[in-house]
Amino acid sequence: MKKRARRFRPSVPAYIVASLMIVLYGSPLAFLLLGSGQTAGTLPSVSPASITDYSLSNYVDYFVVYGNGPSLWNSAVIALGTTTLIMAFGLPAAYWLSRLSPFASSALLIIVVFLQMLPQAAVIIPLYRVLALWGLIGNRWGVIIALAGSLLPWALLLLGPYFRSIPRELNEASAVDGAGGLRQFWSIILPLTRNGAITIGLLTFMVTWGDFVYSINLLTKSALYPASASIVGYVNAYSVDWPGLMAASVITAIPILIVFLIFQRRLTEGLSAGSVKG
Amino acid sequence: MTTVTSPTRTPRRRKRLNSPTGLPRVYFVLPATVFIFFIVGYPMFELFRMSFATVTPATLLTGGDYVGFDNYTALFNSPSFGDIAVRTAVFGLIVLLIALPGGLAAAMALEKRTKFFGFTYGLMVLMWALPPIVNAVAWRFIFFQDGALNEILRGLGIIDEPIFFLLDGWLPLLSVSFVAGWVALPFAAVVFRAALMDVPKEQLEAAEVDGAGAASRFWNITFPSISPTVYILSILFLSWAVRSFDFTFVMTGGGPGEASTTLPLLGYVKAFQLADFSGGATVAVVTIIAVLIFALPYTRSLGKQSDR
Repeated sequence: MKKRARRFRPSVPAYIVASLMIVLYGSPLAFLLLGSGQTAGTLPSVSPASITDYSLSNYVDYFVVYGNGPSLWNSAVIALGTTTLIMAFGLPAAYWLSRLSPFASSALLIIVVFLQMLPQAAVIIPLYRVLALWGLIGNRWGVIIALAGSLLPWALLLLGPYFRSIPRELNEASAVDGAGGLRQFWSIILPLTRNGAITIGLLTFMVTWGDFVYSINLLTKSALYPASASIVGYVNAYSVDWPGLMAASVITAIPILIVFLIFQRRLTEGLSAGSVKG
Repeated sequence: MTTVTSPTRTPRRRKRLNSPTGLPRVYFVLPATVFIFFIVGYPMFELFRMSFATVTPATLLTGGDYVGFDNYTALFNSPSFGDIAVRTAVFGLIVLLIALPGGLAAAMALEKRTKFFGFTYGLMVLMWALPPIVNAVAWRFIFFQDGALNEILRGLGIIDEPIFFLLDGWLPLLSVSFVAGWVALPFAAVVFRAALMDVPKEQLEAAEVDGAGAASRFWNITFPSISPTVYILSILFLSWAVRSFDFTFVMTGGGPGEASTTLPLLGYVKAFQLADFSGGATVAVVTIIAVLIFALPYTRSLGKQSDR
């Protein structure tokens, strides 16, 4: 690998693909940033001339005029609550699954994969009725447990490889040393899988931060909406305030941007390990 | 290293909490199982029951009356069902056609970690990771009749009249599918990047020494090595088309009319916008069956991968 890297000179096709990707993935972000600085209520222009009257007033209005600050708090509560639940249930369960015999684990894998692939609507339609029976419609807890339940199988799949990479001999050795099941898990297994747990925790946080489908249906008051759900209201308004909408989108994206910039390598590695390598 | 405790307590505790091999007992998986049962399992049962009943907002809590297969015959006999099924397939295929070749090309092009390539790769993965609503807003603006793409095309003198990407004929479906493929592409690139590391480098170098061209090296060495990844990603993306609707929901709402409605969105719209919970449940059951078809081969290939 190192030897090749030294000899390597990037080819022309590689530069063409990279440039195309820069345009495809840079322009939506650039348009959002550009449009969000233009006068509220006007139609944003993407021509370079439009940069002259750029201002951050839409960003200020997001908090001051529209009072959207609490929606960010709601997002944080929902995302952190869901992530905590998923980790609390998912880590011991993924560990247990990783210690099964190959036959039993592949049988259970079918169920986990199926649960993970369930269509959004298939979960949310009956859940609406079930949560209504339990009195949890219009309550943040309803959204948190709904999201946690539907994402838990996905988290189990992603956590699997990290736990499977720990040899079973370690269990035997520590059992001989007299470590009980819980203690073994807490002081031997978990420290070894800490990286995986953090990676999948971060991914869960990012996915739940972006949820709007569960929130707009399971919450009745828009005061409880997370940031992403309150944008949906904006989009479907009769006349769209594009600059305001774009500022709201950028603000909603900022926490994800921060998490991503800090943990970029870890996230991409966790993603490829869990999704394909099983 | 054995901890010193009273000899009477230790063995009993160990017996209760720990099997002789030190493997975890079933209480490790119990909370997750109970939780999934109540939040997903029991609702699934409810979903099937609702699809055989008439549940409206008025009968949501009581449960509605049993009507047998009426909801299913109504769905399959409705004139738009065939169109929507075709649209769902088109959506899934477009996602495949964009994300697989695009993701592979990106992974191969950006394999070497120069600064520029690293930045490109990081930008792609970042856009994949952003909340779907943010990307959907950006793309809705790009495809909007007075939006970015039309402004650019007009500025370049390519068109005189705006193109109604989100309103005209097949264009809404194609636009929405394009965006879904666009967001899936970086994910495919991440997965292909990992798979490319397992391509036998010695063979590639030997083939190059023997004078094999780039295309021949790709088809004879690289592609066979990554074909399991192609297979898994295909299943993932096709199943995604059947189960997810957030981009369509934000960009077009399935419209105009039903021009960009796919099966998963139809179920959602019926239940939550037309307040026909049973109709929505019926569509959802159909999508579950479609997803099952994908889940089985996916599980098998996951099992194969972990055997390696």
